[in-house]
Amino acid sequence: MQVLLFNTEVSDNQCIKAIGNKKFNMFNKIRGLFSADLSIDLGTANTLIYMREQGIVLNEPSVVAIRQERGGNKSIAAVGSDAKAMLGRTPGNITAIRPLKDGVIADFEVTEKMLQEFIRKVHDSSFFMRPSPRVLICVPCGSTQVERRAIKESAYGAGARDVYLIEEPVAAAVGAGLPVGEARGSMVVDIGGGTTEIAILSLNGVVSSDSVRIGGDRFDDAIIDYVRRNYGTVIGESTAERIKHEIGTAFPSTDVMEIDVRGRNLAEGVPRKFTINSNEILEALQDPLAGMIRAVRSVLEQSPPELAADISERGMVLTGGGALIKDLDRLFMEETGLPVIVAQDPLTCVARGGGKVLETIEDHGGDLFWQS
Amino acid sequence: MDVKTSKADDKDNSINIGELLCEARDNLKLDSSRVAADLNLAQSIIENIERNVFEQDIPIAFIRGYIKSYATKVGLDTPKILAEFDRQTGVVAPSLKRVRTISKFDGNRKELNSSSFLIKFVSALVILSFLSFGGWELWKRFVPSSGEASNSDGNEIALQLGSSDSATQQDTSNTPSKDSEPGLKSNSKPSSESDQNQATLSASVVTDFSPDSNDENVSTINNEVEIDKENVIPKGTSTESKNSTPGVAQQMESNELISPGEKVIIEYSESDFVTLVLDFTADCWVRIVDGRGEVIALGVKNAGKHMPVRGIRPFNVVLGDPSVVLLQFNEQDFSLSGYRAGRRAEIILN
Repeated sequence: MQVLLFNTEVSDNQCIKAIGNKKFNMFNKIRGLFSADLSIDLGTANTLIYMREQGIVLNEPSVVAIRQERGGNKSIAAVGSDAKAMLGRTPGNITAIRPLKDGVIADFEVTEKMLQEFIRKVHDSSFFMRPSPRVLICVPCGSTQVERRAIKESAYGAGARDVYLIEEPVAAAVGAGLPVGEARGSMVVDIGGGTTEIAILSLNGVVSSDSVRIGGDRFDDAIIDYVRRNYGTVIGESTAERIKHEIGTAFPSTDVMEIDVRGRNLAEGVPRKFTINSNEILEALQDPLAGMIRAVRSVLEQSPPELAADISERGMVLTGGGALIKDLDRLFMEETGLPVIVAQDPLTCVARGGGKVLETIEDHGGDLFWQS
Repeated sequence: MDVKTSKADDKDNSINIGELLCEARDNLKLDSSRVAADLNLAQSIIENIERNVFEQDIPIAFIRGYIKSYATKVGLDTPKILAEFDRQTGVVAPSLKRVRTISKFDGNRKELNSSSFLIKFVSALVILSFLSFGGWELWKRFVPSSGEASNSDGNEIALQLGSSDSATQQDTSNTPSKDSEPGLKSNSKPSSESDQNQATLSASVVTDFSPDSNDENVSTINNEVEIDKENVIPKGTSTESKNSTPGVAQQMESNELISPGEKVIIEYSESDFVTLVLDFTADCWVRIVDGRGEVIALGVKNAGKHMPVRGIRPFNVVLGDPSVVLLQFNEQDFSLSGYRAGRRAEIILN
């Protein structure tokens, strides 16, 4: 009888929730009074949370450190920056893992715990009551129904009252300030940690899109491989990421930058220092960059002629952390022959765009959203 | 429509972004068309940027991006230029527009599909009507009505009412029977029993080879026939009723009334019976129905069986395999060679 009573209060987009969660729906509504709406960019590399009327309130790596207890139980040792600092430096009983891979959930339970921790972190003031916010989560447009369902379930499990999903390119375009509601083509390339989302948008919808599993992680892997192949030295993910941030480039330049790197020499087995320059990194990144360009061309080939004309006139916009690689816009400009601009603050475009959509959620309703 | 950034002109201490970019380009000895080609932009856009004039329909995000690209191209301090641009224009993001809904399709309109109640109901109704019609036809075919009890094969039937009015018996030789034979005579005798509710008709059949046979020579076989309400013929009505036998018709002429539910007993003489002999050379299914509607043989008969049966003409004989049966009708061989072996054959012997 109690379950039936609460069933009537569950909205359609919540029907995937387990019945066990539904019976707490009334408490969720009460808790919702003490929670702010959140837009979450649940990325492979970083998770960003935009809080309504406050802006970006959290930007942390999507890393969780799990401690193995003696009795066989597991517990969360650290989440976010603290956990990332442990990557590659953990003892036997602690494992630092990335619960998302290629933009989708790889470990459901750990993702749920990570989200729960992040939501709790941004609701510091409500210590006496577990927060239950409305949450908008950005998902890759290439993700499957199962993957989207997993993300949604994970957010509900983390305590969300309502969960909305939005495709990342839409959120990125809104965050970059593109006029997505106009009957005019806008092209956005969102280069994230795990995936690159390319989409042509018009009238609040995706006209054509593609999602390739190439992103910042693939750049890091390419640098690690290059260093091992050419210097006989193994470097870690953090080192590779630092190299990418400091001297990574996507287009040949007369300005050659150098960086000192330390790694374990494979022949000698001891740490060694060496210097690597930006041209070498450019060479290392050729494969993933070529994959991105292929995907961009593929989307342009699929686009209707009218929209292609609009894009040719105004150009495409790069968002995401990958857009910060030096001269990536020049590379796309050369390869496509279109104007290419990098969005303002590309790292937070998706989260900000999601937040903007969340702020107008009452006006827009289901428009701009993807709901299962 | 072109507009000019007003803020840039109002403040004296502000940097003129367009002039800075133009100077930097001149220092590098580049013309605007070259810059436009390198940045894949239209030359008009470059010229408008240098004049600080921006087309209003281009979103601010794009203009900012173009200025960034231009500044990078000519080697200016990009963050400083962009910060100045942001300061002058303000970060104005386009508001989210909703695609308007002019009208909605009727969500309440119910589509007819195979699972809808209406379709199911109509289908069930059609099936039921077919079944009831078929059942009615079968009922009519296999359940003989009261009128079918009469013999219409040339025998004249004399009906006798068992009521007190039965004394008015007449010779039926002149009755307008369709197949009547001239030598036939009819005879009637009063029924010994009468009931207040049931009038019993007795019919005695006299064959042509015994024209003078009287009541003592007649062995009677009684058949009780229910008379329906439809068969009730009031006094003085026509005798050409469809369901009434010639004898009955004759009796009607005598202005007798047969009440509903009355039973008619039809008597057959021994001579009316005809013998049918079947010899089976192999197992065969057989069904024989005689003129009275009685099933006189039914089922599978084994090979070598000699089966004489007696009944009233006409015989309706159904054989499962006519090639394995030798048939004698009225002591004469009846050829079954015209029927296909192994196929069901239906024969009417009259």
